[in-house]
Amino acid sequence: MTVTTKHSPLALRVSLALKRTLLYVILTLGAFLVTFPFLWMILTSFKGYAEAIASPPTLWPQAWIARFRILGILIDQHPGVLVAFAVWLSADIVITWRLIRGRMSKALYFIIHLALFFVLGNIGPSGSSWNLSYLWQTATTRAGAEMEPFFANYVEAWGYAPFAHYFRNSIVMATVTCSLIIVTGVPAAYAFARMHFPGKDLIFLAFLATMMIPREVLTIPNYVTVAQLGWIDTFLALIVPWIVSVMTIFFLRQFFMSVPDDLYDAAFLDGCGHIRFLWYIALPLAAPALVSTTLFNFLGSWNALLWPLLVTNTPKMRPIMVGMAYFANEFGMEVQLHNAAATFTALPIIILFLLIQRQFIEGIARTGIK
Amino acid sequence: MNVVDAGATAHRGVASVPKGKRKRLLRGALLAYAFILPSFVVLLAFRLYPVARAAYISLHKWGIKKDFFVGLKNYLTLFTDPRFYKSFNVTVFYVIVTVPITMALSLLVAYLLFQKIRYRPVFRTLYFIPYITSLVPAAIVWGWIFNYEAGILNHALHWLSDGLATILLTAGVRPWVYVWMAIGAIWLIYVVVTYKRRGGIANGVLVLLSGGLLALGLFLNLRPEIIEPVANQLATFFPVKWLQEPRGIIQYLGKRLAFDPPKWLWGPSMALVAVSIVSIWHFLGYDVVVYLAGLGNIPPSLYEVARIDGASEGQAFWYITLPLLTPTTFFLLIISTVGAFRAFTLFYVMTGGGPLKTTTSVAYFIFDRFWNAARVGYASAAAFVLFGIILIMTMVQQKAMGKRVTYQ
Repeated sequence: MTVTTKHSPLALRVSLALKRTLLYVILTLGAFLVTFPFLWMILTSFKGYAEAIASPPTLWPQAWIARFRILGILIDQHPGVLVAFAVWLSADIVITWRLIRGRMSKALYFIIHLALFFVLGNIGPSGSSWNLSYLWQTATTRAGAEMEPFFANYVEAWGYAPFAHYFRNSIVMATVTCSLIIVTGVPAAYAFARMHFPGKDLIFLAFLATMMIPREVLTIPNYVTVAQLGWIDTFLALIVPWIVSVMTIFFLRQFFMSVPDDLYDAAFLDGCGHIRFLWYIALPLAAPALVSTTLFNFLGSWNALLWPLLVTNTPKMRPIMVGMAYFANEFGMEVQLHNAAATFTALPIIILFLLIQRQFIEGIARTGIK
Repeated sequence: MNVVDAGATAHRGVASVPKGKRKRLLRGALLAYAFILPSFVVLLAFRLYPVARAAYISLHKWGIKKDFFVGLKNYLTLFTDPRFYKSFNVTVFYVIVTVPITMALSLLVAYLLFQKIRYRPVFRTLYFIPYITSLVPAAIVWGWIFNYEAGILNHALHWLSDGLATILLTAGVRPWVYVWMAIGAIWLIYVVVTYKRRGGIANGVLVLLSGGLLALGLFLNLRPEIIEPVANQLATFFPVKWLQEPRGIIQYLGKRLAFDPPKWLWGPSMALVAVSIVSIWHFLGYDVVVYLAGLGNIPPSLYEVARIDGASEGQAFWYITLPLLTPTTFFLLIISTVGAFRAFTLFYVMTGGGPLKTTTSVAYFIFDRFWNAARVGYASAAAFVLFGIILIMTMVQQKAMGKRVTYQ
């Protein structure tokens, strides 16, 4: 370090330590502010209505506090519970440590987590004081027969609107759309990258030009077209207009062009045609690129609101985002239900992201620096 | 577009090759057309044809179906429609509020994350999660956070501003004013003694802050009658009707602090500010990741040289980091501006264009005319105007980014 000349090493160390502390304080504070809506969403989703709109607001849901109290009573009566808890905790620390050190995949971690809960909760024959889930059940029924079920808000919110349909529609729409984007995109990208034909540059420029057209202009005429075709309120309307992504074609074309020419020449000398080369050599090589573009296409389709809102008009055809928006409108004041529904709507994608975040973040970083 | 040229030069002249090879080339070309055909058909049907059709629709009076040809009347009406101008105004405000703040905050976060810190992946994930969250549930949750009576934000802000008011009111009173001024004085002395470690700007800011603290203590002690009404206003400023408040933010502040700003200074409505906060929250993580990638591209040797030459950290940031991040900044600026111009979801879920149309952006205006008012021709005309605006911005982007995008 050559920053200072006058200051004693101690002063420098103190100043550096202060700076580092400040760094962590700012980053932690920022991370807290950014994640606070999630914490608040989950906390609110477990509250009762009166509790959720209470002024001043309470932090912990009554349902959680009551259950903690029961846990205390349970531990008083059966200190053996603490042994199970210690086993669970130590096993959890071990697997979390392995996860942090990168010695365990996230999927496995997730599965082991669930398995630990289930196994430890159900050791011993049902009805004995060894069976934790039985103990818990008797303790909760004894503590208060009138206590609401733990996931009451979730069950209620799920029952108010056909969320199962919404999720099914979204899954079908997003999966089919992003698969078809690949099906149409891969051959086109390959043709633009590796094949020679008259008018190639012109056609490619026409493709690129369509990227300039904003969706707002397309929405109205496409709606009129889809309505004339009689597709309103069908998957055709939700999917077909979006099965080509020029962005994906562009990206895959870049990738196919980076496949070494030697590979191509060698394959052709061996009598391998374009189709076989594409299927057996280029496509396997492009797998990582396919995965990351598919992720973004899936997310884009899953999160779409305006177009699905226009082309669906019965609840059974609505994708989850549209259904969620309608749900929030129809149950205007039920804050705890809104938060419960928002939790189960937002959480699947967040969990998906946590499992595969590397591809996501690298994909975005690539768009920014290329 | 060097890659396109490379493809063209590799393509040898068809006429100069023997007949058998020619046949093969023809077969290859046919196969290539077959490869492109599916994409081409869909693009033609749902990207190119709709543009022509939108132009056609915009020249007609078009309700549920086509009524009659009106020529350019829709466009003329549009340019005299105060609601259109208002929506344009709203969009511009939205861009001005969200884009620079998101970028500045994300640069700060990315810069801090880029230091040698522990748990960087954890922090990065936490900052990135909002971007991965779907906007509809996020907007619903935020809607409740902004709620006038039940919202946690008003409670938290009230608690903060009330505390600040208490500090202002007690800091001028006898024993505490000494503590206050001592803190300011010690800080100021520290800044002055160690000024060589920092660059000029950092010194200036720190002197202003510490000196300001000192001066404020003195001021609080000598003129409590000026501070008192301000502190009282501060203590009762919150709750604010965020999403139901159509008044501009400056206008609102002015009313509470008893001054009357002119109309051009009213600023975006409080509702638009609330929507902007959610937008900033959502897109921050994206910008952070892009900035982190940009920071990773700066050669570390440059910082090494700067340190050997005795540059402070602030100087290194100002003269190395910022200039070398210019391409990243420019990319984000264009992407976010175009994105903000097209924003729809947050407005639809959080405010529905209200209150008093102060959150009706251009995209929402088009949707409203098309969907709620069934004025399809008119909405198409408005969409075309938006198209023109976005096209100009995209062309600027393509021009500036073109070389870098196709670079490989």
